[in-house]
Order: sequence, then structure tokens, then C-alpha cells
Amino acid sequence: MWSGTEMLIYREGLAFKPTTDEWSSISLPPGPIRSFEVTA
Amino acid sequence: MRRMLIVVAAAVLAAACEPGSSPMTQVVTDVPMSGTSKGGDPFGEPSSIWAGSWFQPDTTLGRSELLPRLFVAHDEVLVVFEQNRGTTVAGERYDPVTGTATRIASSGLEWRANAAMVWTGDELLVVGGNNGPGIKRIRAAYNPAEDSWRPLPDPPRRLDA
Repeated sequence: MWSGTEMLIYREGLAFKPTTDEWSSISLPPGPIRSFEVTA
Repeated sequence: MRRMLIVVAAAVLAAACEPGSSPMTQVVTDVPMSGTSKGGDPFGEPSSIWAGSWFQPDTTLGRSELLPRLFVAHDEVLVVFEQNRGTTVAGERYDPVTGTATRIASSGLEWRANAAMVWTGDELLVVGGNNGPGIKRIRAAYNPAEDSWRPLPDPPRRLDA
């Protein structure tokens, strides 16, 4: 999904920022995802 | 917004069906945006939404795709065949104003299923997906303004899907 600044790939636990071509890891909570917050 | 949804629905049907293969290949185009809801529509739309005319939109792809991926990109609809019958990822840009479709530049990407795709506002990002064990992963971006693809850098770890 598109966050507005990054592509979030939940199944991979990754985020990609196309303006800088940078990847970053995202952490996911255990269990079903009901909400998700992106931090810089 | 309703008109945009109808355009997207038109592109879905156009991409998913063989041209002329069945009446289902026809799509709603210009429909009234006002009307009186008379019930029976699970989405609560005015009943007059179904009173428009139908036509077969232009397409360059011309073959059925199990699950075409669609994105509203500026004033066009970007249609991507990621599986493309086991060949390469292909797509086209459909202009709903002129009713014309233009094939996009060749991606050179091996077919796949369930790739992550997003429209950023400038580019379509295509990452991951799978097409069997041992076949290389992909990551690329398509820029419709330049009709070109660019590779994306390696992720910090292997993409699993």
C-alpha cells in the first residue's frame, strides 16, 4: 500500500521511499493488524 | 468520484475479457450522475446509474488476464498484466476522454503473481511477487510521463514473495 511517501509491504516487513530510493524495515505487531503507524 | 469508479470498472472489464467474446465485454461509459434511488441497489446508487450506454473500449493487450491490476494515473487508467500468460509483465494506458489505449514500454520483467504494486503519483512501483521457486525476484518502477521503466535498488534482505 502507499502511505503517501512510502510503499509499505507488510508481508515483507519493508518500506520503500521512491524519492530517495531507500529501503527500510518496518516492525509489525504480533497477531492481526488493525492499525499501523509509520515513524520516521 | 462515481464517474471515476465507472471508468475504472470499464477498464477492468476491458482488460479481463477477450474483445467481442461475450456481451460481458461491454462496459458502462457515460451515465447520468443524478437520479432517484428506488432500492434494490446494494450500494445505494441511484437506479439511473444503470441507464447508460455500453461500448467496447480500446485495448492493446487484447487477451484475457486472470487478475489485471488497475491504477488511476493522472487522467488515465494504467492497466498491468502481471501474469500475462507466462510471458513478461505488460500494460497499457487507457485514456477515458479519447477512448484510446496505448501500450506502455516493455518492462522486460518476468511474469509473476501477487506482486506488490502502488501508484505514487509519479510512478508505478512493482515489487516482489512470485512465479515459482528459483526464479528471480523483481523490483522496478514505471514512469508514464517518460514511458520508461527503471530498476529499483536491492532491498536490505531477500524478498520472500
